[in-house]
Amino acid sequence: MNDSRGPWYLLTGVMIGLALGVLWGWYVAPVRYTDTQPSSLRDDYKDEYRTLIALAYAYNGDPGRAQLRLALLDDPNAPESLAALAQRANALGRPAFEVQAISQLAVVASAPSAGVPTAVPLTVFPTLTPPPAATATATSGPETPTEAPQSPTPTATPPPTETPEPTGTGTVAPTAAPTGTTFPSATPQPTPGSPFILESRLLTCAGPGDPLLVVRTLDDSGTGVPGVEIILTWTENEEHIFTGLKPELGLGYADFSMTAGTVYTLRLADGSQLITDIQPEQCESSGGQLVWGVLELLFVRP
Amino acid sequence: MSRWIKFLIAIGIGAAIGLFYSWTINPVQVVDSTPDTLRLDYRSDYVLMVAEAYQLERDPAAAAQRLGRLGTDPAVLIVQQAVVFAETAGYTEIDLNLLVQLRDALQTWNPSP
Repeated sequence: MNDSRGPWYLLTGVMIGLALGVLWGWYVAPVRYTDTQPSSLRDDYKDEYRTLIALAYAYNGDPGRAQLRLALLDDPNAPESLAALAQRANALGRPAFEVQAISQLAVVASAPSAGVPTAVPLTVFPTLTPPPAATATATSGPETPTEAPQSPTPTATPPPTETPEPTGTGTVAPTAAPTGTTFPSATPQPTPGSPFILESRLLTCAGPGDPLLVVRTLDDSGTGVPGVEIILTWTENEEHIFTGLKPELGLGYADFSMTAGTVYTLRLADGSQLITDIQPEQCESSGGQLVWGVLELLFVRP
Repeated sequence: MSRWIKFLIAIGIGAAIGLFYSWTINPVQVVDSTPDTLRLDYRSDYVLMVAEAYQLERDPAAAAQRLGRLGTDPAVLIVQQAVVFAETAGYTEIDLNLLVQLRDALQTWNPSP
């Protein structure tokens, strides 16, 4: 090299090395995450995770455990996410018990943690310790990263008692030791009560809009019952809807937009009486206009 | 010291800075991960949820499909790993039984071709 060029060659070397280092770190041997948390799952996998939580809850009837599992997804809008998931599952024709399970879980998610009934014996459930950040391991082999590099945004605060474990070879690291966290144990789900009985049938004038059928289900204490499957049939069609998919309107609430001129029959899947001759009706609003009314059926479980 | 050596050292320093930046300051961020990357205790709880769902559905095919999210290992092996973890981590007898029942069901299950 010609000494007359000055020290710029050093800066050139640093820049070349920098570029090589970044290329190596991002493309050849990127940071590879093992031991991730459920909160980092892709959205569709989160939905599967929620469905699993719901089915597990439908089996064990343990709201405390269900809430802890939901917390792992770090979703501040869990009730809304679950209600939307239940609606999608219903639209996709998923089994009724799955839709019911998800809507039941939406109710659990909307209940405050301290208010969840845990009238079951407490036993040690060792998993689901607070999540540390995922373990980062640099791989040595060629690999194409699938995620775009972004600014680091820590998603979880590691607990002070737990330290990430080294994973020098890129394998799944050992897990956290049992911490003795107490969780309610699994208990069988309570058996359903007697069939619902139609308590009232009321037409109200809510204003302009499509004719709407509203179904409310209450238990004997007047509390809304979510997850009740409602079967609507008309001409040669059938539709299944569920209470509790709009928890903001009540746990036992379900609605259905009717079509003018169509006559529907309705029954609850638990074997309630058949309600016939359901059809859109018009009524006079407070302004004197003729509008479609909201037909509300109230079912009570005695 | 030869200029060539200084030049190579400069490249090395640059590479070190680049690696530090790409591995530590701005690494590939873990988003949109898949269940097979879950930490072992989360994986085990995932398997436990599958086992609880299996008690409702009694459908080994559905269970195997869900377990397939946890990697390419056979479903029985995935459940067995969860059983081993459950034994060491002190799962309750009830949960352990659920895992064992799922494992046994998958062992005798023949997927249709």
